[in-house]
Amino acid sequence: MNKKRIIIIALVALAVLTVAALPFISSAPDRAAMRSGEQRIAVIYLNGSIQEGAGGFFGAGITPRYVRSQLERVASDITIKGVVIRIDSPGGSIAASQEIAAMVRDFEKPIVASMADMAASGGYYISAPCQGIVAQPGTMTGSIGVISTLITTDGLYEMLGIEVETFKSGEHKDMFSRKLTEEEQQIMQEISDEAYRQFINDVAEGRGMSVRAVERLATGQIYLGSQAMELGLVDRLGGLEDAINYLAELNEFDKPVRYEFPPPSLFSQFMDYGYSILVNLEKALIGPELIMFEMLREGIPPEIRYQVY
Amino acid sequence: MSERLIDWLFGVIARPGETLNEIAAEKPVGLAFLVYLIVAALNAITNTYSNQSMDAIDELMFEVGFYLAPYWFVIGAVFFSIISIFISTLLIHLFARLFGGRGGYWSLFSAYAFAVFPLIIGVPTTVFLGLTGVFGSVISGLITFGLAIWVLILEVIAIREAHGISTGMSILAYFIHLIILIVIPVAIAVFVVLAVLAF
Repeated sequence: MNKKRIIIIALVALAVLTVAALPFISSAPDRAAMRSGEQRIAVIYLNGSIQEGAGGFFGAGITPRYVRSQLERVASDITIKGVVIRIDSPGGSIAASQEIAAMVRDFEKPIVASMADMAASGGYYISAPCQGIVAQPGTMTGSIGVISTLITTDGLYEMLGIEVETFKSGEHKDMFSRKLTEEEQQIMQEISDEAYRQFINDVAEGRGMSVRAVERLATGQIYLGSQAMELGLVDRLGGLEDAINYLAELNEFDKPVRYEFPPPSLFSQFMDYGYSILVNLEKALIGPELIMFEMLREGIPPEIRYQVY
Repeated sequence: MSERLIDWLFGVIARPGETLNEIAAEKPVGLAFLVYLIVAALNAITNTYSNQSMDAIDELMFEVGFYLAPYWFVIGAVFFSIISIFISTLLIHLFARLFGGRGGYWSLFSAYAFAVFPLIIGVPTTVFLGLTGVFGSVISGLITFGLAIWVLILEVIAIREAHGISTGMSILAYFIHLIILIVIPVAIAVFVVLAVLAF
């Protein structure tokens, strides 16, 4: 075979093979399916504790940043007509729960919540503003309430032989670094009550229930999905596919198709894990004593959470 | 025949003057049309189904408010390419004759159709560079622009070799036809708009 023949055959073959490979590397088939009248419903998985920053070795948890990025992805894709958020969470921090709930409430496309094993407390809080809630009969949900914890480290300092001298301006400025006074316990209770009131009001608004009706259920009690359905906290019993069908029913989509975002590239996953690897490496190198000392020096902040405890 | 075809396709790239002269003399109309059709179809499919084009088409369809299957864009582009080669070569032939050319219409048609062959290089570059993000799309755009200039030069050579006129006259014939192809539709559109406004 002479050189000319090889060059021309290679050029034509490369062009033909490229065109043949297009269905595998282009988004066209998906879009063509959309044009055939199908409505894509994106599924967003929210697993773990609700918090402001990602925690754990693999950065697991539900953060406002993650939810925002996923919703922005949905908003920018005109082929996606609705969203099902698949929640498996015991709740978490108040502000993060409220931020996610606000994003869900204000999102331009319809959202239905699908509850997995547990969507309680903050997990329920972020479900409440959805257009509908679908849970399994055995899902643990509810737990509408607030839990506050405060760790006093006086005994630990004493045990470690560390003496602490505090200078403060403002009567209660050091209240989280020692045992609370009766007045400060009252302050903490008021904070907890206020967060509880916000929880009740937001659930009432999201679910279209009266504040009084929610108050009756907001004992911090866990409900199974079947009980929650009877109490009006859940709209339908079923799994993920039922949630997709429910969203389609509510919005009159006649051909709903489940759509899951492709996983992030290996490079982006590596970049995400890179930071947590360094943090854990540092912890392993400096040892538990120094970590504890560092924590004591920074102080252990009080926790007021919408979380199962 | 396949040996001749490969000789011509290679010649269009390596020795365009000599090869296009030979094609114009031999007038392989069917083969020339087939080459033109394959290059047009491959480019139409690539341009329609590449992700950037799909985004643009989606936006357009979304604005207009109805959806059209992407293959209609391919069919439309190929149909437009077929119509355009006949109109272009006819106009160029008329002007080349006006400038003293002696070639026949099918000679020009054959050479002109073979001249688009380098556009086949744009198929893999558009698809694969387009996947690499904005930078890749810019490089792909530059390659497409370069190929368009290359093909334009080959088409001028095709006119020159088919009609035996100077390169300057060939360029003139080419650009006059281009102006007519642009001016006439614009003039018609303006006329229609004015007529609609008048009523």
